Amino acid sequence: MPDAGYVAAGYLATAAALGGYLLRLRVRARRARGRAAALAGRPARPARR
Amino acid sequence: MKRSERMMARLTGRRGERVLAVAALGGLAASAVLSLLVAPPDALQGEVQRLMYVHVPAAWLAYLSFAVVFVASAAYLLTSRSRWDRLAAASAEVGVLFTALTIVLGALWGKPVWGTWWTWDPRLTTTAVLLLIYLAYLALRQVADSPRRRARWSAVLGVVGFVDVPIVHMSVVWWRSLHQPPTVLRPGAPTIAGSMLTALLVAVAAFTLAWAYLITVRLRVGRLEERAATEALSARTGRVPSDGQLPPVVGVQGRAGSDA
Repeated sequence: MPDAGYVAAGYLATAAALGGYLLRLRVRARRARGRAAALAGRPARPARR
Repeated sequence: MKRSERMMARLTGRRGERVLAVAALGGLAASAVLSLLVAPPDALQGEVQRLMYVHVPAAWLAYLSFAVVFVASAAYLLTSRSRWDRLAAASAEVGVLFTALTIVLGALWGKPVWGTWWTWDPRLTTTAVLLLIYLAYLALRQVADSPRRRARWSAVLGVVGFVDVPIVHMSVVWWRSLHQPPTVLRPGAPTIAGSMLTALLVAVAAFTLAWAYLITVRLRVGRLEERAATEALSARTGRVPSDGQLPPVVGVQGRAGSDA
């Protein structure tokens, strides 16, 4: 099979693209959740003196 | 909550997300078996034709993604509801992924069959333009300094940019092209052997499930990021945007500014 390398590269590129994007989304979700939780813990406005 | 909204919420909920993930994974595994082991090699191209079982679904999902961007952008311009903006953003991002994948897979197929990774053929060129349009769309979403303005500008580009999709599809018919003409989406019967068509249709179905899963996860990320921006805005100003509307000013990292 002379062209098997191209086929393997194509299927690996597809798996890497889909899997990599999914991992990136998971990281973004965790960061956004952490940021929202951190901000929600603060008082809505700085206290007036 | 309307019935359609309830159905959408169920589909994009964590349980719906898990069901989609399992279905997509099973579909992709079945597609890999059919494409790599069951379907015969092409009489002329040999084994490298197996790349079509990933290249064609990737191209179809790029079209579908940008069609969703078009519809969601038009809906945002009509209603100003933030959910349409989130859907357009999610679909554009996934569409860019599939367009880039289409180009990479086409290059991997082109080298052994055409003898070159890339040529300025009408189909390839219009696809490259499509990628640039939606990269510009994603870049635009990063530069606008107000969420409402960002949503409006990108919605306009989401509507206008879709013009290139039919041009990409018809390029092989309208102009002299190295790229083969449509084999499935064409007038008359598909010009492809039955076993190959089955493998292709299973691949298209499996990739469409994977696309739906990525969209639901990306929508959740969009909701979380919007919530973080809203928290930041209310922490700074004490104002909370009305339900379903985007805040007029940037809450997290951007500059505060009026909405024009």
